[in-house]
Amino acid sequence: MAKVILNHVYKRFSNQVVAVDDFHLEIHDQEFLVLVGPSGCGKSTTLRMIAGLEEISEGELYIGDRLVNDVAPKDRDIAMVFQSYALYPHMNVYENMAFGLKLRKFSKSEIEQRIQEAARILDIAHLLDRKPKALSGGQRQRVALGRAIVREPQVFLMDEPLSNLDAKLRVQMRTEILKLHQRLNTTVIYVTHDQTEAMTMGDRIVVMKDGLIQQVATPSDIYNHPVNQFVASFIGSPSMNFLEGNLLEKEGHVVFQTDGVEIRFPEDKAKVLRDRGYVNKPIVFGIRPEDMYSEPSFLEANPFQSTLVAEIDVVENMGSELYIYFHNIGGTQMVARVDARDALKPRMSIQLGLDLSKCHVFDRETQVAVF
Amino acid sequence: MDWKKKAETITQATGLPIRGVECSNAEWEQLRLEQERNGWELIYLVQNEDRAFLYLIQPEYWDPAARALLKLYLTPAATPQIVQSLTEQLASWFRSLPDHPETPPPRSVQELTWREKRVVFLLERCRNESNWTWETVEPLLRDYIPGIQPTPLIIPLNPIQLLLVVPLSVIGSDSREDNLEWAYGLQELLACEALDSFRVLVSPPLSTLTDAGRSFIELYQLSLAMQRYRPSEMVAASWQYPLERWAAMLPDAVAAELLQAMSSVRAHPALTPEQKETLETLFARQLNVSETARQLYIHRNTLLYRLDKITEATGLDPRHFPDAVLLQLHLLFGRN
Repeated sequence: MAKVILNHVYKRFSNQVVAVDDFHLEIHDQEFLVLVGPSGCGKSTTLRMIAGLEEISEGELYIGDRLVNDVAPKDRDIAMVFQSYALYPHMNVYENMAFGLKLRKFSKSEIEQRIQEAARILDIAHLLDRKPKALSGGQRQRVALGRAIVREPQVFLMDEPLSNLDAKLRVQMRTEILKLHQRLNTTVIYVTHDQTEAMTMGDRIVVMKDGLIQQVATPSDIYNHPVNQFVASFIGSPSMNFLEGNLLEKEGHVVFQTDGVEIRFPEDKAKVLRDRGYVNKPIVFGIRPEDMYSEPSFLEANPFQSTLVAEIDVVENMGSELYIYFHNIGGTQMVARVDARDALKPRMSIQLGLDLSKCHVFDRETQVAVF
Repeated sequence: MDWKKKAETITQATGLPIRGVECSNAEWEQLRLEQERNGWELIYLVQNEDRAFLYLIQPEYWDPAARALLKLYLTPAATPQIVQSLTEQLASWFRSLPDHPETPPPRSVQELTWREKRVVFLLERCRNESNWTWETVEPLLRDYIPGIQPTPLIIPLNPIQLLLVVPLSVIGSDSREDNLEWAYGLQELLACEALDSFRVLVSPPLSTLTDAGRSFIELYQLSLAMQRYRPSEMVAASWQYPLERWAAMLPDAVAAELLQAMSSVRAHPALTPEQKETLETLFARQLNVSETARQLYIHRNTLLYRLDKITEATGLDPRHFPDAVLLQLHLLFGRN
């Protein structure tokens, strides 16, 4: 177990493309850290630099207290789990897990003990005699994890390990990996492009874009307080809604105005906007789909006196809730998550009350969050 | 004794054909190939700083005992010498094949019979470092493959490429699926245990060394295609990616002309990275929309929307085979 420190790390390729730009972060001992971002954001390159599979162009990398920039990958005391869960086809599950230990000259009894323990944790003890061909996708992924676990490394590096699994299995394995982390108490650095995986698994999440860290925070902080419009749009499913418009001072209130819609900010938020000089300026207003309400009780109370009328294009029934899609406000595609008991259909109009205590405002030019 | 005089002495003593030839160190491999075409076999090689001395015999005149005695005679204890091992001879032959595909295997290994079929894997290291050697990986491969002999089955060709020739009985089946699974296993082995990136290419099972030569040429071409057109794919088989292999074999000028010719049939606006990824995935999934959506982690309707946008932009509907062919060629040659 160890902390991992990336000290102003850069990765530049020969064509001058900067894949990772000034990555500066301390990953705590026993932390489950998730690197998330779209394709090409530099998350896998960062992981590969930690593994030693990519050279670091500039900066320092520490695993524990040891500077490992020039340490060969096999000597870094790490284990990697990859997206492909290929196993060694001519070896049974036991042999697959034992192979790395045999190479490292572990005694037979030590190998036996480690494999039995890993098999128990992963619930694959009954599969130890089977060849990979006789395993399902999920079982293979468990064995691949088992191969890494038995080595008891200081740090686990996982590169989209669930990507090749079907949706149901992915959810199941997500939980398994979390349980595993709790049992092993090892530092895990996990790369995914799936924001749901990031939110459900990480102690902290690093959101990356174009090689740059956008935000490092706990899942709830990232969700509730995104630092910019990119993070706000990337994290959350369905995505946050954004409306472009202007801020005005009207009858003593700060009002957001767009396409015939006026939204009056509560006083605490209005004060921030005034103090930071956003009145009479264009901004981007953001609100998450679940912060718009169709329930009569909310609309009657209407605590923020702000409603929108949505002309429904599409209704997606998720069972427990409905996603309603509409684009009648400024032509912007928007979505609201409402109660599934509402009998809603396309081409209907519905009034939505906004919970402005949870709304967001972004600088139109820099896309940085005001709140 | 002078090496040339030594050859003459042997001829006088035995009456058997032996010849000594001198050349520069850079030329001796080519010289050996030429001599072999004329029926001569390299029996012994001496190299000093810049010159190479080749002892060549006509093998049909030399029985095994005479050959053994000859080698013994030619090997003075204190003389600097290099005796080419079987692995080195094979490596030298494989290396010559991309430029001279008709070159026969070295005479000394021509009679090498395989009692069973073998599968050839080409391992390619993704990083090129001058101080790296295959010695770090060879023990791992020997541990991994049960019963494998040190030679000639592990054949390092250069610091980037190594050929691995595995008996079919080790693999267990001659199905393409199993061969490919072995390739994935090897790639995983190197990634997990050597913690290094390698591309692993695999051929179908082969019966003779000459077949292995032909197969190596295919793998070599596949390697060029993968580097150029599928750089992120780390495992491939010689029966896959025919279009990419064909494109990779075309001279750059021809590829550029083809792209231009296609543009004259239909102008293609620049596609976004997302559109390219969508198309690549659709083609890899044999135009199966549901599979493609699953692979891209998007809803089927989102994919259909994206495909409609591509049709709008290019006038070609990637769901229709003829249009898909044109788009795929456009993507391939557009990369150049």
